[in-house]
Amino acid sequence: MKDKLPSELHQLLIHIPDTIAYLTPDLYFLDATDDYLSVMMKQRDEIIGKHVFEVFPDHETAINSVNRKKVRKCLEAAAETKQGQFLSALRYDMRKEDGVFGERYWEVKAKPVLDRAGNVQYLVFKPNDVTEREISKQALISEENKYRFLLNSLPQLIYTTDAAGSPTFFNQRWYTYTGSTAELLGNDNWGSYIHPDDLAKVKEKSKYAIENGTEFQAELRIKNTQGTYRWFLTRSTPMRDQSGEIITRVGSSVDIQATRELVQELEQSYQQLSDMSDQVMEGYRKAESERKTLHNLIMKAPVFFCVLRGPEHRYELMNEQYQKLFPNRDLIGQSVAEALPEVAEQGFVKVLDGVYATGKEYIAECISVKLDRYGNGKLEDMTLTFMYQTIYDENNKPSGIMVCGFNVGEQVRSTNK
Amino acid sequence: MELAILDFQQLRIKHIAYKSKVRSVLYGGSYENGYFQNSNPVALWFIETGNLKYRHEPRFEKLKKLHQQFSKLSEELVAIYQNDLIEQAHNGLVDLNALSDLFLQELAAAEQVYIR
Repeated sequence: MKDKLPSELHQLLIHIPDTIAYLTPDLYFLDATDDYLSVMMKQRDEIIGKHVFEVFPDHETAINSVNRKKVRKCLEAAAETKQGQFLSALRYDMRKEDGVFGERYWEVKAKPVLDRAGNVQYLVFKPNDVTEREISKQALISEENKYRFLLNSLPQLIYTTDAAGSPTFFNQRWYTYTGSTAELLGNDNWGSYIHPDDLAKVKEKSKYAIENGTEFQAELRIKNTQGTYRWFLTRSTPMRDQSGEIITRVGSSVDIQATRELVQELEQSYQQLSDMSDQVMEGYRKAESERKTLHNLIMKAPVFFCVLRGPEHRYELMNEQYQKLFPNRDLIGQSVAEALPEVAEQGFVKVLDGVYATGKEYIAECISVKLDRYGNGKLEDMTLTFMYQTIYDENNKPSGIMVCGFNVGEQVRSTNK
Repeated sequence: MELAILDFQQLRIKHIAYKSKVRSVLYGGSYENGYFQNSNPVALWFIETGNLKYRHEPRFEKLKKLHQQFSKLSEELVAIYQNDLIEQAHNGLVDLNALSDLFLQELAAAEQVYIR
């Protein structure tokens, strides 16, 4: 032991209700308060006469904790300069009762006590355990970093302002999108990235929202690194503390350029489609009206008329005069060869095939044709003048044959009458 | 028959064009009073075609009512948008689409009668 505490004050000194150790100028323990021993988890006889760093060795594997040098410097400086020394929070891990190091943080004060000759007689060493405060401070920093990371990874442009509307933070996406820097945006020149036509409106809305403590939304164009403006939907919301005071405003801007373009293109396309549909409808109505007129004309015409559809020459349509050639017979849907085998026998189906294949019209004038007019097997001689003419579809391919003519015999009879 | 199918097709196209117009307004497109009020093409279809030719159809009244609901919601969303509650107006498009689906289902069912 290098020295002793004055015996008359010994009891008083070790019962001071604080964590204090009394050291020799060369850092050997003379004694310590009960509180000190309790906090350090040491017995009095474990420390008295021992060197400080023998009692509290470094936690060698925890780099942050190796602060022995700092503490030594602080204590030595107190001894050398004869001035009080202070070390702000530093990590200095200590062994727990089970011998394992525990994470600990300390603030250290060292004060020299001089003798009458002015030499350092004692060092009063007061470590203050600030572990709890430091750990919660670190947790807070880590939480802040987490939020910052989160805000920086979002695809939206995020910013915060103070209650008065001055910007306090822009996320990484803001810098990447605009190509700006923290210094530039910090100088309150964010407005230079907003389209001049939108800026006044945004400022007005923002001013109103700040004055009234409300949120605001606005569609505005923000300039990117290429100098091109894209449309964003921006929303700014006030954040309040427990007493309801606005502490900050959080703003986010979502790129709606693509959606906007798509929606407007769609609208134009559907509008065009709707206009075209109106035109088609109009055309259809007109065609329908003309078709009806034509249909009526054909149906009531004083000549016989029918339409044979396809290469098999199936009856599709016939007018009243044609029906009169075959009273009471239902020919629609039947082919000429099926319905009128006698006509096929007389070679007319071959003629129809020829007209269908070549598109060359066929005209027969006053020829005699035998017809089974009543479907009873009795053939009747008729004198007919008629023509076969090809009908073409919309692709200009033959689709049928139009038959048109008149019954010469009947005409002669009516003339004689 | 064909004409009826064309009439219903027209209604379908006009309805979709109307829906896309509403969507476009909610994304900054121009708002024309006429389109949303007395000269709305779907409303005109009901006046000029629907009421005259298809009012006897059992589904007609339902179809008309759905259009009125659609139209009312469209107006509301445009008003919300114009009141600067842009996100809320965009969110309302979900309800508008649901109404549109109902309208188109009803229309398809009404049209089915005329498809051979």
